[in-house]
Parts: sequence; C-alpha cells; structure tokens
Amino acid sequence: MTGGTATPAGLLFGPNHSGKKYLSSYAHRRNNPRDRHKSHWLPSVTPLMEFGIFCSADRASWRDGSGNYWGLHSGTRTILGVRGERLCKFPYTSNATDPWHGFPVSPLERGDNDAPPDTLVDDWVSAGVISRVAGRKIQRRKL
Amino acid sequence: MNFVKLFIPGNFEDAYLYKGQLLMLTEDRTIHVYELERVVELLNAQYPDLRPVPELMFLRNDWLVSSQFGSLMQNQDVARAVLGAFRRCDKRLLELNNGMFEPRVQNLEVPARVLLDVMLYNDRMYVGADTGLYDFDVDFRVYAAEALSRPTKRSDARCLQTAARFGAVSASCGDDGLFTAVDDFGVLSYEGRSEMRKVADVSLKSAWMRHDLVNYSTFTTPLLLQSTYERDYGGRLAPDRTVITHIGSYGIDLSYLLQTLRDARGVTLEDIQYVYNSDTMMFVHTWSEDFYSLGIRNPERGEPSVHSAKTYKGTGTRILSAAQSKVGVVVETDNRVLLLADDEWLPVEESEVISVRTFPRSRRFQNVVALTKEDGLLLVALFDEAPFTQLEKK
Repeated sequence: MTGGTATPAGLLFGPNHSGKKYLSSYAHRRNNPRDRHKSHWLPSVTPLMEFGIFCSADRASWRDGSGNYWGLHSGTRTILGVRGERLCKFPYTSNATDPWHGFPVSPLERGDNDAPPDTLVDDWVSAGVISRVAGRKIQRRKL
Repeated sequence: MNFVKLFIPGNFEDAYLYKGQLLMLTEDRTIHVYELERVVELLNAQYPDLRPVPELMFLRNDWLVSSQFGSLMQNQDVARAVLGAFRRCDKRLLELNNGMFEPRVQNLEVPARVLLDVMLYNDRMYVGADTGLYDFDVDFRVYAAEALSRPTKRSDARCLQTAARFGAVSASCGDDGLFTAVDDFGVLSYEGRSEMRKVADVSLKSAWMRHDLVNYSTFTTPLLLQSTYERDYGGRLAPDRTVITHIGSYGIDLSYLLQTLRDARGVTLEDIQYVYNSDTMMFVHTWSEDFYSLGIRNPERGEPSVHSAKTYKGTGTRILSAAQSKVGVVVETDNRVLLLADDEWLPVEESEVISVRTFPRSRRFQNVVALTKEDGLLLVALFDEAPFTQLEKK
C-alpha cells in the first residue's frame, strides 16, 4: 500500500483486493467549522491505517443488512476517534465505481445509528476478534 | 475506605442482589440463584479470621449504620477487633472453594439472542433483550428464589435499559423510543399489567428524579418527563408509598440546568461527555476532564433548579455508566471502575466490565457493587471506617 493519491476531497487509496477504492476524507480529518458535526479520526490513525481497517472489514465481510461495513482495530483497544470512538463505519456506496469512505463511530455517543448489528458483534466475539466484554458493551451502547 | 471483594467464576451476563439472594444471568440463558446467608456461612468457615466482616459486608449492610453497631463500636476492644478484621479483608480477593457452592439453576425462558439489562422490583424480574422487554414474578419466600411464571413479553422493541419504581416501569429502546407502563401491579385498577405507551422518540436510558422520569435520548441530553401519582394506601409497593398514574404529561428539557455550568464555569454543552442523575443530584463529566455534581431541587410544581454545585477532577477517560451507592458514585470507564467518595476517585476494579450494579434503594445491600466481568462476578462491598477510627484509638 502507498500513501494514497491527493484529491480535493481527500487521499484516494486502492483498488484493494476486491477492487474497491477508498477515500480518506478530509472532512473527517480537518477541524473545519463546516464539518464540526462530523466525527474525526485521531491523528495517530493515519489515512493508510484507515484504509487498512477498511480492507480488513471488506476481506472479512463485516457488513450489515444495508451494506455498510464496520471496522475496529486491536479488538477495540485502539482509540480511533478524537472523542474516544473505538469503532468505525464505512457507509454503503451505491455506485460501485465510487470510492468508499469511513469515519469513527460511538454507540455511547450516538446510539443505535453508530452501532453494528448484534449478529455481527456476536460473530466478532465468536471469532475472537473482540472480547465478550467489548461485545456486550457495543450491544449495550456503552463503547 | 475498605474494599472487600468476593469473586464467583463463570460466564455471566449480569447479576442482581435482592431480598438476601444473589441472582446471576448466565451466557447460556440460565439464572443461578444463591442464598447469601449460605454464602456467608461458607465464607465464615473458609476464612474464620475475617468474621464478622463477610456477614456485615455481603448480607447485612444495614447493621453497619445501626445504632446497635455504633454502640458496640464504642467499646475500644470491639472497635479494634472489628476494624482489624476489616483491614485483614481490605483489597483481598475472597473466593469460595469449588464444590462448596451449589446454586439453584433455572432456565431463563426469554427468547433472545442478547440480554441487555435486568432489574428486580416488587418481586418481579424485568429483562431487557434484543427481542423486547420481558417480565416474570419471582417467589422470594422460598430457599433460593424461583420463577413463578413464564416470561410475559411487554414490548417488541430492542430494550437497552429498564427502570421501575412507584408501580411504573420504563423501557429505553434506542431509536424505537421510550415506553412506559403505570400501575403495573394493579394497585389502583385491580387489573394486571398495563399496556406500555411510547412517551419519547429516542431513549438510551432513563432514571428517576423522585416521581419524575428523566429520559436521555443521548447520554448528554436529559429530558424530564413529569408524572402524576396517588397514594398507595394498601402498601403493596413498599417501600414506595405512591403509585404513578401518568408519565410524560409534560416534558422539560433539562439542558438549562447544564447551562448553569456554562455560566459559572465556562462549560459548553459540546464539552459534556456524560450526564447522570439521581433523585436529588445531577452528575456531569466533561471532555476537559472535570466532574461536577449539581444539587437539584425538583419541586412538586414548577421546574427543577440547581441549588449547589461542586467540581472534582475528572476520571481521565470516558464515563460509560454511573450508579449511586451509599458511600458515593460508582462510575464505569473504558478500562476500570471507580468510586467517587470523600472528594477523590478510588479504584474499585482495574479492568473493563460487562455491567456495574449498585443497590441504593435496598435495605441490606446499599454498600455493595456487583461487577460482571469476562470470567465471573465480582461483588465488592464498601466500608468507610473513618467514623470509627477515633473510637479505636481513644
């Protein structure tokens, strides 16, 4: 993987193993007043790492019923967002040629909309991706 | 502050102390019930040098604040012996020998993939699950309580949290909303369970503020739902003496209470990370790592107001949940559980947990915290020895 190609909207990566392109969006990186309601990645989570998390989610097919991908790093031990977020979401892109993008999410802060489905969380626990404690915290909106 | 810890290994989802019994929900959808009197007998046999601490801490917290206990502790020899036993226990992890400990095991017949919350009120167990809210009555008159009926489904929506008091029950169901039922025990109507009614569009949790219910559509946006109530002359809901007849007749956005922090301390609403309320207090944690306790006056008529405010240093990390105990506020953070007592944060447990429960309205377990962990249940009993240390030295 390289450092991505600069575009007006962000750094473009890919295509990855499944042919998907990924945009590390400036809107979720820069502290622009226009984007103050968007969640922001921690600077320690580099755009390349962000792309890596997306690729892991894509490879493992961590998807919900609407086609969104959900990601995490180190079993949720890595903090991904500036407000303590430990999960991230990659919303479904209806046009297959459009690049995907993603952002940190917090079920604790924003409830159901920021939480992956229970079945996916159970799959993560069963596969040893996250601990049972982390799984229950997501399901109980405490992560 | 003394911490006495009892660990019970197992794959538990949650636990509750009620009427002298410990009820634990397991991963395989069973309820394990232990008589705490039996647990204390076993602890006394296993740790004879720690008597009477297990009994005072895990069975009869009410004795610690009784006039009889205070009177006995006036005797210097008694004070030294009792405080000595507490210090021998402090921060020690008590465990019951395997094989000594046989719970009553019952199936939890709740058809759910995920158990999200549990609570006991007026001998009825409420279980929040991904498939809805369920309840069933439990017989606590027998040795090791047993369910009296199969669960009744009360709502279809995924129930994150439930709260019950004054004969009413609430179910916080995330984006599906907040549902409530009043007179759930037929005190006024002499009918059975009443239908649940939606009173708010979004709810992550709710908490009582005296007779009113505070709904949190996010963990930082409290909305007070005012209630009406009548006196319960029959005493069927003891210790509650009133029955709520309607919830949500009027809603008040309590953000204005938080604005007092902006006016007095420059705290913006965006800076607030977590809010929690009890009957008379509101606790606010900020991203700037301050923790505020606001004394709240909630009159019968009119709007609540702040009558006092106190600032503490924050926890240094996010607060995920908070619960009141007799000796202070217990907060769950990302990686540990802390107690705010005597103006300082004391570590209760140095690991992440599945759930934190306290029992401030119980008679016998006001000082106990039940922590469900990855590998078992940790009961932590808290004892503030400060009022007695002078008696020991006099």
